[in-house]
Amino acid sequence: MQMVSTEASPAPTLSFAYMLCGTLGMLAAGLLLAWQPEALLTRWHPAALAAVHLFALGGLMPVMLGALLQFMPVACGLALPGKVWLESLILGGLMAGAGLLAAGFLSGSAGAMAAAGALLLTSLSVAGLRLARALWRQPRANALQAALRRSTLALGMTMGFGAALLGILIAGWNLPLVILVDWHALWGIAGWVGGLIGSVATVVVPMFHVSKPYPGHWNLALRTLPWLLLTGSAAALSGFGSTATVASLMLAALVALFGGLTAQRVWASQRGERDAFFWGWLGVALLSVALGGLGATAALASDPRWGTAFGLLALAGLGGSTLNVMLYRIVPFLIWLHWQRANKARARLPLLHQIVPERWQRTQLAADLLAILLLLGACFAPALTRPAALLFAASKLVLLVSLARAMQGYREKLAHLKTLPAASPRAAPEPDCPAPKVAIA
Amino acid sequence: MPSALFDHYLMADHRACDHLLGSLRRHAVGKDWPAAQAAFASLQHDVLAHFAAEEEVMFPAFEAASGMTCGPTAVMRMEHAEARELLDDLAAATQAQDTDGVRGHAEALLILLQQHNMKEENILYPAAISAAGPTAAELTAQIVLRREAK
Repeated sequence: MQMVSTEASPAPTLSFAYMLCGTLGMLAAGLLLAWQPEALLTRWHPAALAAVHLFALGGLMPVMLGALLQFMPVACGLALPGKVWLESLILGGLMAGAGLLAAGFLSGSAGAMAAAGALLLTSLSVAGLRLARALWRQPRANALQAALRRSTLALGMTMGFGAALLGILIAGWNLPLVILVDWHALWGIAGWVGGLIGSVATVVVPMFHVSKPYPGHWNLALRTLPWLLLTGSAAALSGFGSTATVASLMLAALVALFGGLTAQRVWASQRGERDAFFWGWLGVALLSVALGGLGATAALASDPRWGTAFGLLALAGLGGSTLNVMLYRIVPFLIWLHWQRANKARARLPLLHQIVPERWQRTQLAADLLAILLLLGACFAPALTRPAALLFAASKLVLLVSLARAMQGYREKLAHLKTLPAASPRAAPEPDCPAPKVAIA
Repeated sequence: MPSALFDHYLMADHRACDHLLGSLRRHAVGKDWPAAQAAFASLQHDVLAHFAAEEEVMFPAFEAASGMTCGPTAVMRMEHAEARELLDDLAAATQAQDTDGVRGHAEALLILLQQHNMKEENILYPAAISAAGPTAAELTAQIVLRREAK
């Protein structure tokens, strides 16, 4: 049996580095849209492709990987080995690769794309293989571990499609570009991001909102996700367009179901308070329902703007907003927990909701939601793009500043707590056992 | 004796404590301090009785059967100690009718208990049932008896 816990988790500063870089990536994508608002006119615009990859690879991916470093030990009992050089390779490669890929799209430089591809495939392979090694080392997987395995496979498929697309762009490989782009995006957003959010929410929402568990049929439905993606992509590549459309419609139904089930649970929360965390998750749930509707419309409509709107809501809404809301729980709790463990003097610590001030949380989440709605409108009314993108960038800047301030405060207070004399001996975990080692930095 | 084994019993107890914690926070936010104090008293009693059933009955049985005395149970005991400190903070905030204090400490306790419960429910309880083998039903009865002791 393996039992690891937050004591075995990497130091929080490691996850914080991932989370800050990811927030910076989301901010950069917003600024790029504000700089080149014509990006939303068509998904094939170089600035659109650059912004999408900055957001997905330089924004969502680092935050997800940083959160998994902390989540895996607690939820699955599986530690992800976290050496500094390894994390530097993953995070550095990811951020540099995302930046270079965006530059490659904007400039049309094959050299930049090739360098980006090498960096991204290396760093994502290392991150994916590390995750896979931890998940498949267990002889039996519970429902959450099985779902995480499926998401990891989806990451591999996304990378495979991405590599093929780079081959087309750099070496002129003779492959069906549009189909590969469509299913590269769907494997990434539905299989990897959606699969991870759908499975983690199944655990996190009932626990942190004190609500009933997701029904058994949700776990069954979630299991169909990779099969729908596999069927859809194989059908599209083989020329069976109507089968691929049916698969897309079923994916849309799945995300709408997730949104409905989540909204129901958040609304019935017994947590005792309707604060930013409550409204944030309710917003995520409703955006997921809307995403299902947009996905179905995009699959059936001939107007390509629906597809642009669907991609935007999937990335900035389902992906970006969910991570945004969770950052307001993960970061303050990690800070508080590590202060508490270093607080041998039993000094008074800031309360959890004071670490990132609630007013900032509420304002930023409201601005984020408004910006996403405006960006959706901008797909059909291009004049809205620049103000919407500026508002989106501003909301991510507020998030970045508030997280950075909290992390700076963490380091300062931790150093201070370590200088204080112990008030009274803490209860030993076990009479004959050494105290579990706590990773604090 | 309940027909299900102790994992179901203790997991239901986790959920019941979550609801008491929510009730405390709802009453504190609504400034209904007599109700908040009653909710806190129930919460404190139930959480401490739950910890006692684990620390005095389940953990020793698991340690004896598995030979692991400094492994998962040591981590769980340390997290129980952290939760007890938070219960002390919550007691002070409830006594002082400090809504902000109740909100902050209650949220910290909720998250701490949730990540603790995840480890128990996903890892420790299945391992403890497996280690108990044919004595699992008898162990369940002892755990229930300790948890419900007056």
